[in-house]
This record gives sequence, structure tokens and C-alpha cells, in this order.
Amino acid sequence: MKSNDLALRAPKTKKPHLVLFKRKYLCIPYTVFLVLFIIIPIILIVYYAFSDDTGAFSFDALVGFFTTWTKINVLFISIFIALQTTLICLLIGYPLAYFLADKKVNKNVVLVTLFIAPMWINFVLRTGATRDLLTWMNINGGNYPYLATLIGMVYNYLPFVILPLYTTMLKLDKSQIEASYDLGANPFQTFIKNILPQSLPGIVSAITMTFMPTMSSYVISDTLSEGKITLLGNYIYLDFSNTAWNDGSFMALIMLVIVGISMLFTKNNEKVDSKGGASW
Amino acid sequence: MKKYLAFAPFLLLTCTFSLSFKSGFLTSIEGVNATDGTLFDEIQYLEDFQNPQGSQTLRLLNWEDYIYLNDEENGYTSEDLVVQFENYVKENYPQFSEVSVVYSTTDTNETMLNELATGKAHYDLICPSDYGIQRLMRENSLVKIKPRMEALGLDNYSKYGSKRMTSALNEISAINDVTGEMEYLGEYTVGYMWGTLGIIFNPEYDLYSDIDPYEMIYDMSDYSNLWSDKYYGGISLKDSIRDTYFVGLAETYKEELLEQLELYHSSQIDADTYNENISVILNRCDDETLNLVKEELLNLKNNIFGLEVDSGKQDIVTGTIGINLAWSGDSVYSMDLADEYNENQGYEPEVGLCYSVPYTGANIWFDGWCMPKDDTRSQAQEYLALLFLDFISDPVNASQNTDYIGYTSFIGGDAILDLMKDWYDIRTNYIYYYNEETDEYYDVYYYDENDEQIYVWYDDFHKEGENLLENNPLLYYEDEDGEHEYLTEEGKQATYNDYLVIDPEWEVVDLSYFFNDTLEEYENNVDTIFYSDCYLPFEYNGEENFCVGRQFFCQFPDEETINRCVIMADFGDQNDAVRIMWEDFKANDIQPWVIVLFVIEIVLLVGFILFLIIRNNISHHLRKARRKQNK
Repeated sequence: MKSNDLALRAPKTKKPHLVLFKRKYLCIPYTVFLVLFIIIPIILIVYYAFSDDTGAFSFDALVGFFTTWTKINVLFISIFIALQTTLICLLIGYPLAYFLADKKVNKNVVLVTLFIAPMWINFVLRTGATRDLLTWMNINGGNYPYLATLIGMVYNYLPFVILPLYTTMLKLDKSQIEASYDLGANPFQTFIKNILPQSLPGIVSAITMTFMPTMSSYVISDTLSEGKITLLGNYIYLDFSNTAWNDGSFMALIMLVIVGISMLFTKNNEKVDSKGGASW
Repeated sequence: MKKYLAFAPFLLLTCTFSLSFKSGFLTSIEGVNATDGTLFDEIQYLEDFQNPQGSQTLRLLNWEDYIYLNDEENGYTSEDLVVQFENYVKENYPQFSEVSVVYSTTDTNETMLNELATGKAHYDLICPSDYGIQRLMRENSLVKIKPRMEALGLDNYSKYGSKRMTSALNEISAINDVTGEMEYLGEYTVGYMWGTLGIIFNPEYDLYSDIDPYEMIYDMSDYSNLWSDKYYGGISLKDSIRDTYFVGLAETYKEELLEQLELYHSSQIDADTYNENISVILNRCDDETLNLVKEELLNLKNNIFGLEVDSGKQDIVTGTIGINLAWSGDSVYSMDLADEYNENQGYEPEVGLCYSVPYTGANIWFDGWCMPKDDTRSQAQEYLALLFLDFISDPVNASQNTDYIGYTSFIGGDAILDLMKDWYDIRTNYIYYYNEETDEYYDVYYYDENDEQIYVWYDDFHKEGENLLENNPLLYYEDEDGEHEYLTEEGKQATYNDYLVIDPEWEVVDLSYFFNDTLEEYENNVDTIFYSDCYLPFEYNGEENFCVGRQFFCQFPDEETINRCVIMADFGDQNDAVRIMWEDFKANDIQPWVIVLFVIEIVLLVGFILFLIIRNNISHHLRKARRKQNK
């Protein structure tokens, strides 16, 4: 063993380092980015959320938010739309991902690419096109604001559900499923006790990739509901464009808090997960 | 010690330099203050005014698509107006060795004001709307332009700016929060474009196919019909506070507005008083008014198709919506687009898209250039900015702008009148000329009721100009073989005055109010009379309608229409209250099924999760028990 160690050490001659390089320096660009575009804005949001016009500390925005019926209304509808979108996306995306991951059904990745292709086109452009399509089908925001918004949201966020589920499904332990059948479980029991727990990490990441972005989405609801459905994102924009920085910031803070809660939720689930089916 | 002593002279030098710099800086600031206070000292200003020179940059902030640009495909062949300005300065002011214009754009007044408020952006000239300028004046952040231009003898704006419009703009006032004095917009701004906010609609819209087009035209001259079931589902409003609020306001106080109209029609009050009175009504924004307007708007919300800011001008053409609250310039755009579209489709609508300025009162808006206070601006830049304002106020340049943008300029003058005659005066269609170089005749298109082309011809069709044959050197007609027979000598272009061929059916549109006192070669009150066959042509059930028209009316409403258009001032301290009212309006309509569905889903979800957790716990316990047994 010792000789081996020596052999390893042998070529280590003293070379003068021109630049003191450490691997962790590679993180500097991102750290700078993080501080400039994430940490400082968050600090600003918190500052504005708890101050008034003059910059003094105040709870006005907080009190205002929770005592204004319309703001609760908007928060409720945001959660409602986000919940519907997430559920519908899961209902559509889950079986789809299961079959896409099945090598017998899906011989090559072309099908997957097809389902994920919309993700590569900017969503504002897609939303404009969706609006025209829905108008042509006579399901426009004028008549059915909720339906039109939901269709747009599901269309937009479906790829974000399919992709993580698909990667999880690829790693499903087939032998476990076979074992459960062998032990006499019916297909429903197999699904509940075996497939579902195995694919849980995929579901969790699918939910986080859909729920929050839907809540804060702004263009889709605005365009497809013809301005009839107002989500939290619209309200924040409205406040900021009317120089009501404090109210807007407080609403942004509410969103941050919801993101935080959902992160906690995700983290707990990742601990439970033993197989580590990668959420992508 | 010696080492340090060597630095002493440097230190001294630096001190003196910085001191002198500082004092110089201070005096310059005082200078600015002196000229920006309530009194503008012209003599002092000119004394301070050294001949600016060198290489300079002019920084402009304007709306998108709001200045003439070179666009060869669409026939705009001259260079960008900004480039023309650079060349103009180089030619006429050779002391500037190099001039470059940095032209930035923005999309809303709010963004513009926010950008200035953060103090990061530096501009020499910006172009906000009337209420934006008011807000800036209140904040004491504008430099007075008018006295500076007067002192320097730059007089295009005062000479060619339409007196009627500039005085309307100039009379808008604001109280400066810093000095506490009331000041007028005229001192601070140079008008650029103006227009009205009205209703554009398609009288032959599919959804309203059971409504007579002329009935709809009649209905649209009244805001109240937007609330009517008759027009359910085809109306689009603006997703911007001020515009939609105005409609709600006009509906809320309709009775008071009608009262004033009655007084005006019975000549108990004159036009100015009438305008002042309705302007007071249509500028209310106290809490009580806000509540009333909110109620009205919430009712309206149930009747509309949706809210938009930008898509409306396309949607009205494609047929997604039938009625849209729109700015006059956008309406002109939509009408042109629709006409072109219909022509390509081979479809001839009975009337086409129409634009209405409702009879109870409407909103008129102005966009003007103003100069924000800025320490980084050199005197030469300021001079350059003033030169730019003078340059764009030249009728020739203003007509390029109008031609390209489609909005109505503040500038009158011969060039603009020429352009408008060319676009809208029906007599233009009768003017043709013989071009000696190409040996070609450029003639006219005018069709009678039977779709037959009429040429100017001696018949009883013209009322005046009996001696047309002798007086007009250009008259010709087409004989049976399709050959032109000249009645008089060739080679001259007719002017409007040569032609007094007037169809009694044509409407007389008097734009003297706009053009008077700005004309040079043309004559006031003579050349400013237009003839049109589609200005205010509509009649329904024997009642005449003076509120609806097409492109020409959009761009140049007649004086009566202008009289009922009011300027909507900045809400001032009520800005926040109005925003909250708007938030209430925008809040969602929660229907019972939404709540039911939500509750069911939550119960199911929570139930499912609980079920899983309990199942897991039970099986966990069972497993533990089994393991114990096995041990």
C-alpha cells in the first residue's frame, strides 16, 4: 500500500501557480447573479411590503390586503385556477406519461418530443394563437372566461407535467409491479400501493412546476379571458404600474410565502421517497 | 516625510480645483433655479446663452410608432425624421460639428413617469399625455419651454400650431407642489398630437344581424346603449383605468350632462361655458362618485365581451368584437385596415366601420413634448432640444408625421391642409392633371349611385361655376371611344379654387376652427372648407345624427364635436382611490359552481391524503407487530 501511495505522490513536483485557482471559484458568477437578481429583489420586496409611501415602517399593506374583499377574491380565484390546472394536467399527463414510458407502446422518443414541443415556443406567442383558435371554436373569453383560461393554462403547463412524470415512469421498478400481481393484488390495488408511491416524486415536482406558475401567470388569463379573470399576477402588475409599490410588493410577498410553503411540502416528500426517482 | 511633502503641491492644486469646480457648479444650479422659478428672466437667459457648439447628443423618449420613419415598402421614401433633423442642424447650425439623436420608446404614460421617477434615465425631451404632464408639473420636475423658445426666436410652434388646440392645451393648469403656485401647461409643453376617445363599431356585425345598421349607428351616439341587452356580448372596453372610468362617469351623470346640453342648445349658455360645465362634471372623482361609477361599471361588465388595450384594433376588423372603446388614431387604423380587407375580399359593406363621439360628451386628449429637469443636460443639448421642437413644428415635417402615424397633429399650416385635402376632400377625386414629361393623364375615380364613373362634365350637376368651361383650363371628358376630349388647354394642374363643382348632397365640413391663422398661401375660411360625402352622413327615423363618422371625422371632428369634448385632468390625490375602485371593478365574478367545485375538490384531496396516511400507519403498525411475532 505504501509503495502505491509513494507512486501517487511522486509526480507531484512544485509547479508555480500563476493564478490561484480553486474549484469553488466557478460558483462566483452564479453567486453574483443570485445576490443581484434574487436576494436583493427579495429584500426590496420585503422592505416595500412593510413600509408606506414615505418609507416608514408600517403594516398598512398587510392590513389592506386582508381586509379588502377584492384582494381575497383575487387570491381565491388564483388558487382555484391553479388547483384546476394542476388537477387537469395531472389527470391528462399521468396516464400519458405512463404509456409514453412503456417501451412497447412508444418505440422511440418521437412521441415524447411531440408532447414537449410546445415548450420550445414562447408562451406569449402560443397564447395569442390559442386565443384565435378558441375564438374560431367559439369558446372565447367573452362567453366562457373560466373555460378559455383553463384550456390555455392546461395547454401551457401540460409539458411541465408530462416531462417529470415521464422521467419518473422510465425508472419504475417493473419487477415490483409484477410481484404485486403475483401476490394477488388487483390492478387498482397495484396502482394505489405500488405505481403511485413509486411515481410520487414525479407527481410532486409536476405539482410544483404547475401550481405556482399558474397562480402568478398574467398573460394567459388576461388574453384568454379577455380581461375578465384577474389573477394575483395581474393585480401586482396593476399596482406597480400605478406606483402603488407597497401594495404590490405585499402581494408579491404573499406569493413568496406560498412558494415557501410548497417548497417545504416538496422537501418532506423527497425525504419519504426512498427510490429517488429523479424529479428533473 | 520628504516623500509626503512632494505631494503637497498636488494636494493644493486639487483643493483649488475642486473648490472652483464646486462654486461653479453651485452657481450653475442657482442659475437653473433662477430661470425655473415662477419668473423667467429672458435677458439673463440670453446673456448666459453662449453659442453652443461641438458634438452633441439629443435624448428623446416617445411612444412606439409615433414619429415618421423611412418605410420604402409603404411609400415613405424620405429619411427618418430624426435623421432629417440631424441633417437640418448640420446645414443650418454649422457650429455643431456632430449631432446624434438617441430615440427611445415606451408604451404607457405610467412607464414613462416611473422611468423618470427612478431618476436613472436621462432625457432631453419626453412626450407624455396631458395628465402625465400635469403630474410632472405638480412634482416641479419640468423646465419651462415656451419662454426659452421665445427668447431664442424659435417661432414655428407659435406660428403654425393650431390656435384652437394649443389654447385648449395651454389652459390646462396644475398646482406646483413645491412653489404652491398655479401654473399652465402652455409654459411647459409643445403640443404634438391630439385626438378623442370614442366608440368604434361595426354596424353590420354578425352578432347584431337583426339590428338595422342605421339603428345601431344611431344607438352608438349614446353611451347608455353599451349597457343595453341589445348589444350583449360584442363590446370591448379598455383595460386602462382612465378610459373606461370616463364612460362610467358619463353614464352616471347623464342627466346633468343632458341638462347642460339643453341649456347650450337653447343658447342660454355659450360653447365655452358649456364645455367648462361638462368638464367639471366629467372630472369628478370624489369617493361618492367613485362608488356610483363602480356600480355602473360592474353592471356594464356583465354586458361586455371583454377588456383589452391593444388587441381591439385588430379584433374589430376580424370580427371578434363589434363595438370597441377606442382612441381616434387607432380607429383610423382599424377603418383603413377593414376597408382594405373588404376590398380584397370583394365585399362591399353598406357603411363600414364607424366612429362615434357620443353626444353627451367625450374625452379629448393631448400628447405634448416637455423637458424634464436634468443636471446632466448641457446648454447645447437644451438648445438642440428646442431646435428639435421647432423643427417638428414646421408644417412640412408635421405633415410627414401625420401622414405616417395617422394621428392628428397640433400643427396647421399649408402642408397639413394640403395633405388633408388630398385625403379627405371629395373634390380631390376630380382633380387630374397632365404630366408633360411622361405624357400621362392622372384622372379620377368617382362613382355615382349606379356604380358608373362620372367625369367632370358640363351638366346641371354643379351648382356654382357656371363658367367652368372658360375658367378651368383642365377640363376634359372621355368620349364613347374612350378617348379624352379636352375642353381647354392642357398642362396645368387645377387648384381647389378653380373647381367649384359642388354636389348638393355633399356635406360642408368647416375646419376653419383648426386651420385659421396658420395658413400662408391658402386663405382662411375659404380653403379650410372641405366637402365630403361620408363625414356625418347618418340619419335614422328622420333624426339626424351628428356624432358618428368615418376616417375624416375621426381625425378632424367638427367644431361642435370639439365643444363637447373635455380634458380629463390627473386625479391628483384621488389617484389611489381611483386605482382601488378599478381593482374592485377588475375583481372576479365568483359564481356558485366555482365555490362548490373548489370545496368538493379540497375535501376529496384532503380525504385522499388522509386515507393514504392512515393506511400507511395501519400497515406500518401491522408490519411492526408481525416482526415482533416473528422474533
